[in-house]
Amino acid sequence: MPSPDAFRAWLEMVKTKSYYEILRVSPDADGGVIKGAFYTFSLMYHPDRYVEEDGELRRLATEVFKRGVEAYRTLSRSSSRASYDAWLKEGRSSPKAARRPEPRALASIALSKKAKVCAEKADWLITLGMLEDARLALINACQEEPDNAELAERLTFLYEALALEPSQ
Amino acid sequence: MAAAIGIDLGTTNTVAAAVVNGEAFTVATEDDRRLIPSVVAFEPARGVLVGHDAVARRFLDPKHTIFSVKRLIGRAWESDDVQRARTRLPFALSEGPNHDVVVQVRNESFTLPEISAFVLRAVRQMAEHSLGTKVEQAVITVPANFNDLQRAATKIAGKLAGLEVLRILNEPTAAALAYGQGHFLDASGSTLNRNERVAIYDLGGGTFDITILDLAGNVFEVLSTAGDTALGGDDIDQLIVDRMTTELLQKHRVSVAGFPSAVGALRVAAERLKCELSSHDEATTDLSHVAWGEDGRTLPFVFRLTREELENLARALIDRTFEVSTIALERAHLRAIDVDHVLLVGGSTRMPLVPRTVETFFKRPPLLKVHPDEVVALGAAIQAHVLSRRKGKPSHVPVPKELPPVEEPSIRTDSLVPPPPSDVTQRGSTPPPPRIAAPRPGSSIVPVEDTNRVPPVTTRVGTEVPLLIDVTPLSLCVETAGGYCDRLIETNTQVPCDRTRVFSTASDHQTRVIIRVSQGESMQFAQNTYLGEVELSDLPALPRGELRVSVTFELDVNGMLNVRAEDHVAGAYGVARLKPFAIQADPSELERMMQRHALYT
Ligand SMILES: Nc1ncnc2c1ncn2[C@@H]1O[C@H](COP(=O)(O)OP(=O)(O)OP(=O)(O)O)[C@@H](O)[C@H]1O
Ligand SMILES: [Mg+2]
Repeated sequence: MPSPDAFRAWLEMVKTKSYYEILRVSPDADGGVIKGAFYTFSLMYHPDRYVEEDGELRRLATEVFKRGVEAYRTLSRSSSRASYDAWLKEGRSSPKAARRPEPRALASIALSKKAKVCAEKADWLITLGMLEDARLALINACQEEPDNAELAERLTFLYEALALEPSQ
Repeated sequence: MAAAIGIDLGTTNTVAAAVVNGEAFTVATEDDRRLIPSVVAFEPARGVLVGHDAVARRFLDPKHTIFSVKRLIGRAWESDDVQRARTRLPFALSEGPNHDVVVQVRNESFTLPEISAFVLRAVRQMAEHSLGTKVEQAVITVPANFNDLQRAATKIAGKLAGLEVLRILNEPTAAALAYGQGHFLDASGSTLNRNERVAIYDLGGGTFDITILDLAGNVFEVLSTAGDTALGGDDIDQLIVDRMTTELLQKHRVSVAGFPSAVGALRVAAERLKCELSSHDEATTDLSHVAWGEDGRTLPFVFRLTREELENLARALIDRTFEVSTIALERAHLRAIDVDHVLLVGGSTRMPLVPRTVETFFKRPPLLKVHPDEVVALGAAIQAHVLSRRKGKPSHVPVPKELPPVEEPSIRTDSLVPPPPSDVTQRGSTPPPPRIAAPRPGSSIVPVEDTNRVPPVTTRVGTEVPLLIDVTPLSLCVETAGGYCDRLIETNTQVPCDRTRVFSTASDHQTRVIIRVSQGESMQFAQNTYLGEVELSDLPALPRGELRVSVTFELDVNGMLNVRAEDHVAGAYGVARLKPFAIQADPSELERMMQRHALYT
């Protein structure tokens, strides 16, 4: 049984680890291998494996498991895995730019004409620093193309860059 | 030694099960009944009847006989479902102090968790009697599609019944666990090395759920789930009742609307007729006692229905289950034919229309190997058994010998915090995820005969502890300007999980931030279920944008939300709690309910 300290050290380390390292698979592992690795990971760290242990150990196992979920979710879908891989490549070579994948113009991500118009507007508003308006324009674009994963992801990024008005 | 049991708290029926000596079995009353109607009747002098005794009072005293609580529990008073139910149910509902629903009985008002607690307490006592031990812990199941408020309210019900709720477990997942344990074990109780992809189609009295899982040895991974918490056998009964009232109106020009006992009688007759039509082509029921003419004499009225007519009535409802099934498949990036087995759960799957349409949709006949009424409770009992393990008792959980190697602390200062996982559900043509490679090679498989639903009275429990990896059915979002949703946790994310988002203040010297939270799939905040708000106040007054607050949304292993907040500048933890909406979770209120409950038992 690992000690709480081992868990704590692991949680500290995990911040510098890639999702591949968390699941202990190679970067070219296929879907089946990733799934198998997540099962192995789960059998070791799912909090239900620690029900007879004290609360602190269970809490730590939960924290560890959550990082595995994050890794598995990203790596088990081709679209999110591809953008993660791209980010990882850049992140490793130039840590400064590592926060985000190189922003593509929103207009080039949108596919349909209507969405492009909205996305273009959003691009333009971003260059003007009018992030709030840009976000609304981007939401419109997303509504035109609800299945466009990359567009939706960019909305998430934009949102994070934004200040949140307290409601009311 | 106190026992831990599993309870399937259903809309219409409640079933309890336990594991004793490695076998899971459902608990029976003294007269050998296993399904306890989820009905609570309040007698004039503080007496409370539960189950079959309560059902008998549905005609005598419809105003004080409470049923179908599960359709309302954890819902806000203003919601459409509650408002619709208000007009249909014979007992009085009113708005509680916290946007919740309370029922009025004999000058008292009870919250819905309190009503459910009466049912839970009754099955708990039944189990104690049958097992000969005290029962203090339970796993209680809920429809997979239940939201945070519904789960929280169910948990409160358990507490009020004097139970420690070990887990709020999704019904289909419980069913899969019981199926897997029953069919994946070799003679010695070891887990067979078997991979299967199963769909659990669960159509009960009030809810429909579909869950797709991968079963690999003793790991049960939920791939996706979808459901409708207001679609079930009750709705089919209602369609029959509507038809009965129309005929009554045509034939005798009487309307039963506004006579709760007449409507109640029609409902009971409709349900009986429906069940009869599962095994007969045609059925009739004499409803002459239901309505009176102006002269006070009963009106002769015999209602006849054929199975074909019933199927025509029910078709649209059953079709909706396949719309929901399509969503579940899409969420798992699967096609119907990728599923190896479909299991039918819930009493309404006894309607022949269901297996027939299931076969058309999944292109394979459903597997009739689990008992549709009992399998959920059996799974809950197995999970209760797993979660009540204690140190010292032999357990077969493979314990990790080592953690992934902890390397020398890296000297890099740039932390490789990964970007937020892009969780946008993709529809369409992504190929199905490949199957996991078999962890152990070739043990033999227990031959399972394709018998017709032989009810397995017991289910063996394996010596290796099974692990359930479940998902959240609904996305979790915060409100953004303009009333839109920003999704923090996507539907179908494995639990437990978390997601942190950094917020910064929008105006100078702002000392308060309010974050409103809802759950659901709409991009419009108002169309989702409002869960509550998180307020961060007394923040240091700083220029706009300088104060950064990170808010972590965490879904626990029950699929229930916790919120944590930390303010970056002060570096201190500001404890922000989600102020829940539409449930009473405040400890003093709970205490008051506990005390009142004690009066009735
Ligand atoms: N033979 C039958 N033919 C058709 N319907 C049936 C039959 N037997 C039971 N039902 C219906 O099954 C429903 C009850 O099923 P079940 O006990 O699985 O529901 P529940 O668990 O109480 O509800 P839920 O899971 O939705 O909360 C009722 O609507 C009942 O009329
Ligand atoms: Mg049920």
